[in-house]
Amino acid sequence: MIWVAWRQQRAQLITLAVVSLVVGTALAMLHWLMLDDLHSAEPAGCWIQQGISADCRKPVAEFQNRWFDLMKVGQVGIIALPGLIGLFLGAPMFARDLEQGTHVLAFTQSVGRARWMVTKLLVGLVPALSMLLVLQWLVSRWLVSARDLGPLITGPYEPLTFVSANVTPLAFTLFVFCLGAFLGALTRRTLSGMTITLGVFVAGWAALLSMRTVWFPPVRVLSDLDYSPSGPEVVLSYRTGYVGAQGQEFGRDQVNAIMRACDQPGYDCWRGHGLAHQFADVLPAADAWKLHLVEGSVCVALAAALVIGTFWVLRGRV
Amino acid sequence: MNWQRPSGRAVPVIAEGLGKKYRRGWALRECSVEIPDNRIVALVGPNGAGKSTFMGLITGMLAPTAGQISVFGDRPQGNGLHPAVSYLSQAKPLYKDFTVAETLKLGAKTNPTWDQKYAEYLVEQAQVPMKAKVGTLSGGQRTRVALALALGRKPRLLLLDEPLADLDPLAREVVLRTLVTEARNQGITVLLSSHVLAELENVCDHLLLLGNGEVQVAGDVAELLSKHVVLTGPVNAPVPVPQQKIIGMTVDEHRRRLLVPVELAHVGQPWAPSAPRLGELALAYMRRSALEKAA
Repeated sequence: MIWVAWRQQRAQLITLAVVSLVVGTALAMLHWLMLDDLHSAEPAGCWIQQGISADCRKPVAEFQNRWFDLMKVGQVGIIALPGLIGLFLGAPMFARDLEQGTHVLAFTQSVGRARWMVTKLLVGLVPALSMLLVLQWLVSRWLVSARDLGPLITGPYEPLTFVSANVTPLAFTLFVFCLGAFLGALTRRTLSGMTITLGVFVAGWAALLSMRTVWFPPVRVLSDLDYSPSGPEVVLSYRTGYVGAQGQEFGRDQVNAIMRACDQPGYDCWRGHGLAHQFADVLPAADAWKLHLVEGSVCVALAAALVIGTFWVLRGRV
Repeated sequence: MNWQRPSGRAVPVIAEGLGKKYRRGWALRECSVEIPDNRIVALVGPNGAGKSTFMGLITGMLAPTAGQISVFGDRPQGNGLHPAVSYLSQAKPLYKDFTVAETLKLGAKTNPTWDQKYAEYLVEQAQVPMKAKVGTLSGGQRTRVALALALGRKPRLLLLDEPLADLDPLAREVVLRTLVTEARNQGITVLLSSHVLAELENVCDHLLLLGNGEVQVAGDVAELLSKHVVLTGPVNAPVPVPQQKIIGMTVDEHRRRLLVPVELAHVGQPWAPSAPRLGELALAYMRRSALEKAA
């Protein structure tokens, strides 16, 4: 059955292998070129300093001009992969068989439906996940080499960095792939399956983001009125605003009214109206791995439910 | 229920009170029938009679709503086809981008009872190139490959759901001849569903006629034919048998033909008795079932 599943998906899997090889080679070369640039130019001596000195500003800016956006493209690629794998491998997995009636051929051999389904899913999924892991590793190595001169400087919660790191790409791929397989089996149409997969994936992602405060109640960070809460680049900021001396929150309208009333420079007038601190409800950088793990687990659990759903749908197909 | 013959050899199919209901209503109901071993069975009936549903129930792709069915002593579970059964649907689904050789390899990889040499022999006999993609084959060639895939499993029961429907007359004849030869040589029971009664007449030795989702006639062809007679008489002669005894009647410009039970054969002049043909008998029962449905 493995051979049959492989033969059916041969074109997609060969395309996947070729794309992986080309992109992987390109990433390795870019990494090597960047390291060469870093060591041959002055930024190499700049990144070990605390802060960037006046002498370093120009070479660092030039280095970032050459590499920063390129590394962001690498991250975008890792983010796009789950979607592409789900759409082009997951959605046609069963939809094409049901569309062309060839599921009857499969169902009338001496292979049970469960075995048929699981074999097909694994033969598509294992190479896709392997490719993703290799490419993610290459991008991650590249980004880490650039240290604070690359996109990692904006902290683990920067959307591109978060979604392209840790277990998130793997979990997303698993989820979108199984979502595509399920919707393809349900709609019996490859194109419909692909389109709905894309829509549900985007909606699901938004729902996942909205659940973050539920899974991780934020930590409140206070700062003086004249400073933003420190380190916004390394924390995930859920909410910001102003509080009084007893920690009571001021609503946006109240703050606007105070600002209109206080037209002189300085913050004494604000303090006179009761404002004591700025606050930010945040998730510290050190907790990023927990968020990855929780969101990843949700995706894996959804993927498992979708596999069961796919079997349930296929069991009823004639 | 005893699913086996005293000889110990399991009966290909036994259905008892079998029924299948869809949302639109019953497709098959109260179907109690036995498909004996080593026969070529004609499964006939008008569209919507329940033929495909009956085959679906045998394969296990459909689950019965009522009653029970046994296939070689086992209950079809829908978890892969019974190893002794092969099924070929009207659409003859094959992977179009597979070559013929790869299609046979599919058979080998998914069936423990596969006979590669026999399947290759059937393809070679049909002069279909092994390296050709299935999508490039003619309808006749595709049917031969699908048949090789079905027979390569070495079934003892072969289910064919209108497999000749999209073939030209020449291809139909060749495929049918191959089918009958292989069935006889290999001792396979064939359940062949078709609308073309004339074709079935020459090859089938058992008849299962469905109408309105129910079994109308079932039995060995020779026995069924011996129980019926055709009375032919002038079109204006009074009908010599009670109306309710007439199974079927056809009228042309000069003659009237009545299909009746054989007990009514000797009605005297001007009616002449003759043996019916299978097609005529099947058609008469199909017409009667259609009239009953309309009523």
